[in-house]
Amino acid sequence: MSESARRQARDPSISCLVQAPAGSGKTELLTQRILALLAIVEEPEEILALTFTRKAAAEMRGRVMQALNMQKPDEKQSHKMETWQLAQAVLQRSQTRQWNLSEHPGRLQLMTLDSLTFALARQLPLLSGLGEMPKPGENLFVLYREAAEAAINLLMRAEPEKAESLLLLLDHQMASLIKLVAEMLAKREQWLPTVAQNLVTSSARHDMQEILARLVLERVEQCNAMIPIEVKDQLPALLVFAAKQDDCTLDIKHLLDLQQWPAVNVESIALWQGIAAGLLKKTGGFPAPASINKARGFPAHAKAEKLQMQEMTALLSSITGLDELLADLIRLPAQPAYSDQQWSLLEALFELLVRANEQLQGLFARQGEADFTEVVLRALQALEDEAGTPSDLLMKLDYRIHHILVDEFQDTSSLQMRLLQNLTAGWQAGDGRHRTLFMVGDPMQSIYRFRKAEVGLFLQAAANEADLPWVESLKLERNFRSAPDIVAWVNRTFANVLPDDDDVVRGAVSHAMAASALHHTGRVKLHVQQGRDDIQEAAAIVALVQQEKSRAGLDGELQRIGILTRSRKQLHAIIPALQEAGIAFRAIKILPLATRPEIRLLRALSRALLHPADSQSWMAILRSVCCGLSSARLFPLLTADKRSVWQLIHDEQRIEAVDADTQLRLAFIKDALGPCVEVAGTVPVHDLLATAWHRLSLPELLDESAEQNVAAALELIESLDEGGQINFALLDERLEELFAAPDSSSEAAQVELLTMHGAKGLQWDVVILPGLGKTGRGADAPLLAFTDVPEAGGVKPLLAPKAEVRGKDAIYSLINSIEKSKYNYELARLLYVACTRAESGLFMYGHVSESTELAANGSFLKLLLADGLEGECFGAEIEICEAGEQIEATEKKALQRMLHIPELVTEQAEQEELETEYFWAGPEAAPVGNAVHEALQHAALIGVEQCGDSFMRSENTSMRNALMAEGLSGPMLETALSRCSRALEQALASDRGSWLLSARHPDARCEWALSVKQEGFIAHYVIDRSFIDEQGIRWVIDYKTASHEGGDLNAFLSEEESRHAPQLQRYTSILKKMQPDRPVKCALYFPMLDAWREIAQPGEDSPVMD
Amino acid sequence: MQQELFNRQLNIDESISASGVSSSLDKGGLLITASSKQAVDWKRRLVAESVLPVCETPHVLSWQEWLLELSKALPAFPVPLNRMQETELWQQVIRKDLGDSSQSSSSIRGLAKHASQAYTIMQEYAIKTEELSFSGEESDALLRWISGLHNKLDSEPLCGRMLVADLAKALLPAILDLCQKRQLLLDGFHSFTPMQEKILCRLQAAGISIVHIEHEGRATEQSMICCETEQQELQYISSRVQTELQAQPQARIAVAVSDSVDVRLLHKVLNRTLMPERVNMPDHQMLVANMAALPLSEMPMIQQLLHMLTLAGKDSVSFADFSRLLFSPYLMGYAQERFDRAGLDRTLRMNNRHYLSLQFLIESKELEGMPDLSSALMALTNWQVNNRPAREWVKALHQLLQDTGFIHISFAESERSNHEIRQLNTFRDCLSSLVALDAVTNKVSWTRFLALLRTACSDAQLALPIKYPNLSVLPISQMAGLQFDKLFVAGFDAQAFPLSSSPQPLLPLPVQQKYRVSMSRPALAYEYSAFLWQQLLQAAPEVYISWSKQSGDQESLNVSAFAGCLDVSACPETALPATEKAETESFDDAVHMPLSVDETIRGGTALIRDQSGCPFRAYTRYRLHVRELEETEPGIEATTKGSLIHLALEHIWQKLKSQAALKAMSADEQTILIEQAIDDAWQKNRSAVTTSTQSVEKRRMFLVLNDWLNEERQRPAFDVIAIEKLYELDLPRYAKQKLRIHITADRMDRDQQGHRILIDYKTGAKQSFSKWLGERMEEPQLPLYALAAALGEHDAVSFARIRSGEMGFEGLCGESTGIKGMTICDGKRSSPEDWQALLNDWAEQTDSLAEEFIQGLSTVSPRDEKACRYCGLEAVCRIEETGFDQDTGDDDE
Repeated sequence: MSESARRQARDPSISCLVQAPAGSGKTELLTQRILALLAIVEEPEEILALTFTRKAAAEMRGRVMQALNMQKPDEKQSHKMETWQLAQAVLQRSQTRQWNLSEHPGRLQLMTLDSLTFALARQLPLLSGLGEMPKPGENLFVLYREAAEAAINLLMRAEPEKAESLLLLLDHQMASLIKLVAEMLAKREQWLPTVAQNLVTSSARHDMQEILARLVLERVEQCNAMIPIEVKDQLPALLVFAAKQDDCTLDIKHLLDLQQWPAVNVESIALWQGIAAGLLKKTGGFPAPASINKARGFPAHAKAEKLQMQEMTALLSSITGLDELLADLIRLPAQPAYSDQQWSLLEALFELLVRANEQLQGLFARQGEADFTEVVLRALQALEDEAGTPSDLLMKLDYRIHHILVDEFQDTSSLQMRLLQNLTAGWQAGDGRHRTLFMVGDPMQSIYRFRKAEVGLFLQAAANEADLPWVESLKLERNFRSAPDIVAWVNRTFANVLPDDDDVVRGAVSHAMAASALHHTGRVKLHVQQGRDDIQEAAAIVALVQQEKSRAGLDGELQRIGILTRSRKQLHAIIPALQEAGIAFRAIKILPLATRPEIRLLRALSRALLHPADSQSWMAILRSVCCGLSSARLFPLLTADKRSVWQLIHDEQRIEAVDADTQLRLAFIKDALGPCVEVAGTVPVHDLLATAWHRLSLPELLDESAEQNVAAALELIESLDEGGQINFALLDERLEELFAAPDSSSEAAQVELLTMHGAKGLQWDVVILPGLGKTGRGADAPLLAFTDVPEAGGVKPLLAPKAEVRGKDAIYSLINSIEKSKYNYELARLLYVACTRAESGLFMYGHVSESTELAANGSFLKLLLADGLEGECFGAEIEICEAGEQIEATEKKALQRMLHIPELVTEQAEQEELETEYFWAGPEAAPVGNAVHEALQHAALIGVEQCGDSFMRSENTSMRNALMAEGLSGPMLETALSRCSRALEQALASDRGSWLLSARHPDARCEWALSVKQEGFIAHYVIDRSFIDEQGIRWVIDYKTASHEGGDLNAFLSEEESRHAPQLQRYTSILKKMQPDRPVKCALYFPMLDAWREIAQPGEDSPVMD
Repeated sequence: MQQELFNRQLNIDESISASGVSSSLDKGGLLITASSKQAVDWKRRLVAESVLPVCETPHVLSWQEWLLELSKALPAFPVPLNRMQETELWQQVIRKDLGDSSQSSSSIRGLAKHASQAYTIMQEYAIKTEELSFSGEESDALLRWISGLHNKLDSEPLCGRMLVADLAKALLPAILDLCQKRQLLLDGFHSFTPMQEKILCRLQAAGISIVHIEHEGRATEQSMICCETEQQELQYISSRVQTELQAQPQARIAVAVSDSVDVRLLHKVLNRTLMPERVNMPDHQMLVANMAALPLSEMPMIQQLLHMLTLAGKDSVSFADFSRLLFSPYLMGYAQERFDRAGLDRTLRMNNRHYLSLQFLIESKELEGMPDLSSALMALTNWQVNNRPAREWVKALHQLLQDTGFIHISFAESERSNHEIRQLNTFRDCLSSLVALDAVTNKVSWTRFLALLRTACSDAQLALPIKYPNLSVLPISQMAGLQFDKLFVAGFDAQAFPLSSSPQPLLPLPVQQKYRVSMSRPALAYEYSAFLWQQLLQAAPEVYISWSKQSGDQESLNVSAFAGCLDVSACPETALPATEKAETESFDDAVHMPLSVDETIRGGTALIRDQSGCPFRAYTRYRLHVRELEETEPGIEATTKGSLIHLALEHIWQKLKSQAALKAMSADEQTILIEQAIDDAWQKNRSAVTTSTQSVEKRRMFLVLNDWLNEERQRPAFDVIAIEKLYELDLPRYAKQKLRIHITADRMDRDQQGHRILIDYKTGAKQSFSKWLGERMEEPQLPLYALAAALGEHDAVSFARIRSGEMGFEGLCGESTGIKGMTICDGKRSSPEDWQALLNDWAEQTDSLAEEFIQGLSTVSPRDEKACRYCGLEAVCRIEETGFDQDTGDDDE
């Protein structure tokens, strides 16, 4: 079956969707499919292969290129031979059509969906509204928050009642409202179209109430179908009996008139809820026979009724899932309708969300960055017309795409699906073109809801209900990864753990059986602890690791071990145990940087340098390893004074009051940080901190891994720099997302610690799953519950606002329950992913409650060991142990500080010539100067003697052009031009000017461009004017067009002289190199003032002033 | 490669060798290069060939420079608009055409860039506008925009101006008169555009000799190095460069980088390797090599300046924005007022001033002692934002920068570093350049002007001194025609090279392909890449090509197939020398510092709570007075909300005095009383919140208080016997030296059985009484109240939880008070067994905690893991270094 499915899947003439479970050789299949397609297309760009990560795209490209370059394999290696043959056909095609494919692999369109959308949006700048492509930002929560805050402020001004209703919903916690709106912005692709639409549609309320009624009815129908007929006959009378009892505490008084089993309709919902309340415990589940007592309406004397009720309850409790369904019934809204208050709240919320989105758009435009959601929305906007149907713009793309392949299709989001629908929308059957769609993935491994993956889309596509081209649905079965024992256990377990049927709405995926293709032995073992004891569990795991790491795996090398957990924090207990045991390991994205001591110190250092009044950060430095003052020693320094710590440690009196060692250590801190405090705010924070870190000798005091962490944090700080300052709230937020660098030694590679999510796509000889008895942390309730409900021909949205703070709302709960079931189903799949990583050994650890011996609801162990210690785990070995005595925590270590205070060496910057600050005489000064320079050059070229009226006229035109070319216009141009003309006229008329610009000088030059070799380098200079005078002196003249009004002209000229002397002296030395015997003089000429300053050569007296 | 591309209409048969260029130029030839970088390089090469120490700079121009030079020779020739003017004009035309608000200003800016590029291609490739018709919305729009632009150029005031893209076409008729050279030497061209061909053909036809330069096949030594990671590759290159420079300080070395190289990382590695001393001089800004410098807008001074300008003329600014301004070293008087400004920042944080009115601040006492800050803020608030011509904005803004201290009025007051002077000089150029807008617009709004200034600063690069001017870092695409002594090619992987095609988005793709517009299709991109590859091989006698197998999250990258024929060697180890470790010692951090008699400690119940949580925390906060800097938050803080509720309840019970009075009130009367209480509370607590926030909070208060009073109506009858009563509790009771704790009890009731019930209002989360028990109590507030009020066996203490959706009492007592939520100490439901014993125990525990404080215990010994959760002192106490019980608590996903 599997082999024929593979053959079909390789066939380039058909479209198909392949379900490829873990270890089924999906990548090889994709490679072969791409090769098969390459052999038949006109251009390689006709094939588009989409992946979800850049890594996967690179891997795919690597596999194709590898195939193109592979040697002919042995005949026995059949699958390699197939690949080789396919590759040979491609190479031939490439040669015939001059693709140069081997040299130009970039022609293979293997990319991520994100890159594709980015490329589409870039290619359609007008229609996407992204004329200037934004930078793809990955940490934009700060923008969402800013947009949310701005929107709330705007709403408060424009529609205060609406704002008030929303704020009161959250007990007037503005920060919470901002956070919730920001979270909504992060997933705006889900609600934006609906919300925008609902703002303008009057029927929205009615439409949603219809859906609500349908959902309610659906539940009632499900319930009704599960209840046996005899119960329907007898139960009404029993419940009426119970309702009549005074001692009955159940909420069933409204059942007094219940004559018969209620009708299956929305109107009877209260009766249905009453029945559910009469049957279930308040905490859920059916009551035990002994609990059917007077409080439930069956006093001891009513023996017959009580017995009957006990029998009925026993019957009902044997029906799987009925208790949950009845509990759901109780939670349903009494009326499938929004109250006016709810609806106006919803409208207020819509208003706020739309405003927040507008604000976000503004921020994206201002910052020049945007999230991928924005780019996808814009790309779709460009590809669809106003009605949302695909336009013919795909014509504009580089080539018509004829073949699309999508990897990991189970991770597709609804937005990406829309894109795929657009890309394939024009594929008409029978238009003579050969087009195919190929999707591959494993819905059982769909675990990325947090990245918006919707597994229901896979199910829809497999059923050809996804508005995509028709596809053949194929399944691969053979498992090329795990031992048969593991495959068999996974089959047994997940046939039970995963639901029996697929459900698009609730994201349920049923199990698909796998058949082992390998023959080695395998082991599956569950280690159950009675009562939670993390330290004991960690010790057991360490013992197992020690044992397994010395064994050889299938390939003869030592076994590789993966320790996988649901959350990072679960690994935190294991890490010290491994360290204690001296086992090297690689913890990938596990240990948060923020809590590392070196990062805390770095943060304190940055705060102290940038905020002199942050006494806490200064104190952290004084107590750190590079200073090491105890709390007691700090007392005389810091107490009873409001000045900053920096000021206090410079207070001589206070310093005198402390001991010599403290003085020495303080002196070191002051010397080390003094220069940094001086320049804080004027240099990039990264540079400031790197210097401070270095000056405090911290690299010498910390180990290498700490230095790596510091480097990573400094990189983050660099990215957050705001002109020598930093937003610390943002830094803290971002630090939370950074993790300590893993041990990169080869020894550490044998044991890897990852989250289950991070383990997808990887495999180990031995997989260890600790902490299966623990539960996850609940997420905050969103501001708006949202779900899509399938309707004939599409989906319809259903929304409800959050209930008031600490309150409940039935509609909101109903909608949220759909999302909750998606979450629960995905959790089971996460366990599937974790278990299927194992090749030879799968070892699981978890605890049950000491008292009930049951695993906690919501834990993985509950799925594996539903009946607690009494049950079995689908045939896995089980080892039960009691929680032992708490192992003593290791003794506290003493605080460390540097032993010897290092001597600080102050680096001297290389002597740099002093930079000259401009005199700013207005924006026109520089253009005027340039124009006058040019005009003087022209005058000197023809000689002042030839400069008559016509010269002035032509120069005026040239100067006007020059000024215009520099951007001047209008009144400023006219003023500037008249200044230029005046300067030129003045120069031409004056004696000095006439002498300078005369054509009679020998070897006269204007704008003389000279190049000089200096110490092996070449420098270029331009000298404004130069000539040899009557005395044989070579003059070097620099024009300075600065003007001066009022004040002391001489002082001004002297200032100019001293500013420009080095430059002219440099010119002089250059000319002396050209003609060593020629005397050279240099001077400044000020055409605006007709002034002249001769510049003395170094060692000469100042020449006479003009 | 070059040769075959010349075989079109234009026929350039003649060539000269590179060594003959100098003599050709001496004979009056002109060397024209494809890029200005190459022109500069040719000048260098020609000067280097010269035997003289000083010579005239050879005349070498890039194609574009040459055209501009020719155009200047004609006085009547139209003056092209400069880039800013042209961009502004495109934007005006596009904005007018699109009319709606569907495009943001950044999108319009982007569209203008695309339009300008598309127009330039059309001119260079002589693409007729008709070709664009009916090719889709984007090219239709381009057509309209081109037409709109021409209309503008044909009418006043722009009549007579032109676009730079039109220059070549406009010069064509006069080219023979303008070109005075007998010979043109061409170098570095991969291909010629049709427009270039036209010009050259015309010159050639007129007898001007057009020759290309033949590069002698240089004996190149090529090596290929495979590195594991990008970091390793860049470190290898940097170390090699360092070795080469040490051996030959004047060697000309280039590092050509592909698109896959993280250039910022390369700069860092080069900096670290070649300028290790820089780590000690953060203010000494210099570039390690000849490379693209950072944009001016990224410089701290300019960022602060631009940030300040965004606040100019605003009534209200956010705290975050204001705080940035406060710490700007360039804002007037920073040196003198630095610590005061930091103090102001701390105070504003403490008072949660999330938004600030600058005017209000100037008039307040908060700025006392900071005259310069006051004056700078005044200048900002006085800033007029009405529309003005750009030239007026420029002058006014310069004045504002002087008034706020960013620009010094005279050089005398200047103590600025070279780097700061360079930033200011370049900034002034950017500012001045904005007057160009006046040619194309009338008046500009302040927002628009500021946006344009920001763009100008982003476009401008700050010229920094270069440590090794003979070392260049540049993209592979700019390497054509350049010559070096050694060349390193980084990131030469198959993904980055050959280059991918990059068609122009506004021009129809078929048209671009028809005209063979450069890079518009994969085959053309491949052709150009092959040309670049040849250029790389000829660029130096020694070429070292490298790539890394892993870059970012991409693994197993292959080398570009162009280099596939070269032998590969693995990257040698280039690890930096390990840092020598310094010795450390352990030190005693547990020395007690007893409270001295004259030391004043002001503390309430929080002091004992801190002492109980961790002695170090109490010591740090109350003895050293070290506090964390707070963050402001939007809206009204929980503590303010709580204290307003307290004030309102004080008002209410002052009026009512008993439950009987409460019950005697009608609903309307209750409403009136609550409203009065709310007004009174706001009168007393003048929190700096906006009117709208106040209004919402008043509404919330009403709902909460109303619910609470209804709750109070339900409990057994009582009289209020004390409200907001102050107590002073001296602890330990029997010690000589005592610690005085100040306590305000919110309320004391007496019920009909005579029980005194001490009540503390709580507006926060639920407090289980387990937190009040044990050796180190988590929440010692009520125990302290019980002691202060000397409660006895018939009395009770309770929190009154006044919280939306969670109203109720949580307390302990010895006898039943009939109040729901009050637990009797009878040993049931985990409650203590004996109320009186509990009171005694509380007394002992608090005595012991106070004693610890007086003794100056400052050890880091938190009660449990939870005590550290919101402490914030981790960096100070260093608990992660000394060790802590492993955190295996709640799971996070």
